[in-house]
Amino acid sequence: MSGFGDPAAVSSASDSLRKAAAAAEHARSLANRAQPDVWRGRAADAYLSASRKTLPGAARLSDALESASGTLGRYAAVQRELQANYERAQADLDRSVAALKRNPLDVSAGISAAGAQLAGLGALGKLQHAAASAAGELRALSDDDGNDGAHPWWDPFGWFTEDRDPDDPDQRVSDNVLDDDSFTSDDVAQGQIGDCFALSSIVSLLNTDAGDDFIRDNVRWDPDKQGYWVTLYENGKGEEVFVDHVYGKGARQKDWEWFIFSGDKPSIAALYESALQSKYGYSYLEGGQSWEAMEKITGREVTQQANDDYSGFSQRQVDSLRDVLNAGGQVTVSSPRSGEHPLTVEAPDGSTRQVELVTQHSYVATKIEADGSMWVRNPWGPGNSADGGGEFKVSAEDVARVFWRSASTNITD
Amino acid sequence: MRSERRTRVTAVSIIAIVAGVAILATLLVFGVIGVGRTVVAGSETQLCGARVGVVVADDASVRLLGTDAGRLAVGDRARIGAFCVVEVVGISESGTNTAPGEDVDGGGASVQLRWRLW
Repeated sequence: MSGFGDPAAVSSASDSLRKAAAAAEHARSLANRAQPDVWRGRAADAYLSASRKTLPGAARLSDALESASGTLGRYAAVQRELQANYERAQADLDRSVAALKRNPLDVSAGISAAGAQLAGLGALGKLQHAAASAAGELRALSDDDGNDGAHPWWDPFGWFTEDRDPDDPDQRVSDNVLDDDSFTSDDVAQGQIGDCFALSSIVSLLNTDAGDDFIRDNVRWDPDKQGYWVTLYENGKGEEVFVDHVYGKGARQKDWEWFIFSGDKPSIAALYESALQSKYGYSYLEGGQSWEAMEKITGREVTQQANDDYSGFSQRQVDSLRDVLNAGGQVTVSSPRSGEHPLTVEAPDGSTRQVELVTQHSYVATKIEADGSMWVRNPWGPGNSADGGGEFKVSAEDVARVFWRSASTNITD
Repeated sequence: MRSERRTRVTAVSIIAIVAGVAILATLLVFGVIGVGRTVVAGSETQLCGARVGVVVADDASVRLLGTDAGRLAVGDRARIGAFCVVEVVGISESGTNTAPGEDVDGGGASVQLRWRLW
């Protein structure tokens, strides 16, 4: 019967989805069982961290496939039932029409014909309703809003509404991100994404000439594709990721200033944000550990020092970080997990000021003095609301109190 | 001639009235309803032309760095400018996608703020 589709094909699709759901669940189960029991160390931690992030997604995928299979199975059953109803109504109509042809005054045949007509139309209407319900369930499973790019009635040209994934970068890049004025530590202002753990690594690179060269080697403009190729590393192996959009709410830098007016543009760090999102998903940008981001950005082995009780750095830890910085390396440090931490710090011109240390935040260490005091920089950038931006020196006593975790590497090694 | 002038005066009057109503409506909307914004704790946002850092404390209170506002609980409001009142509408943990117990930097709770003119 045309108009009712092919219930057998829909059932077959339902079976395929059920098998796919079973395969996804089997894979999740295998991965879940493959936890390192005796295996310890950073690789084991990274494996556990990755599996914690991946396995829930695999379970959701399996559930979604199972639900989609159920939806198609139910739709196929409704299809079969309504198709049978329609065929019965069609047969009744044929019989009634034949009776009317024999006797045009046969009132009961006329009533039967009308009833059969209505029953047929009713079956078609129910089929359309079932199809719409099934489509709605499938769209809900795939997080599709079903707009198909259409705009609401009040914004027919899409000037005020967006038809893109809100987690995707939204601002097209131009060829000015790698201008010469983009290679200082002050050229990163974090914005509204919680990715200080990654930005601090980029700021630490921009802190040295070797770091600038490293970025020039790892980020390149492609004039043909009108975007940038950003190299990210996995286990030391580089892979280029193409970036043609960045987050408007992401890392910015000041671009121009005239009188009381000023404008900004995407920072180099914004290219890394988009590259990380492209490779690992937006959730990767929502908090993380610096050593992991530093490895992905630099491809070098990263050393992490962390005090499990969140106590501040010991003298030995400070000395080792000083050695890294003196050798031209990159160091980030983590702030306390909670509480209020107003500090009196020293600016490069010798003046002192009161700043607020942001909790659960990653800072860039740029220099450590002989007495253990540490020059740090906030990836929130120039003029920020916590410390005003720029480098400031935290006293040795405060360093031993507030900074409890570090990530360090040296791209010149 | 007189008719043309009358038409022009009428048009200008209508435009002035519409503009006045629009300005009043805008002031009313921004002053009464406000503009919502969701910010990840541990990051900064622009509110009323100023950069404001958002930090969530253990007791589920919010601190707005760069302002004189103290700790704000959900429902609290603070004036951070002559014509700028910020209200904490809600705090949700959706901002972070990491496993419990994982000590991450950044990506804290999502803080729903709403600012209005008064």
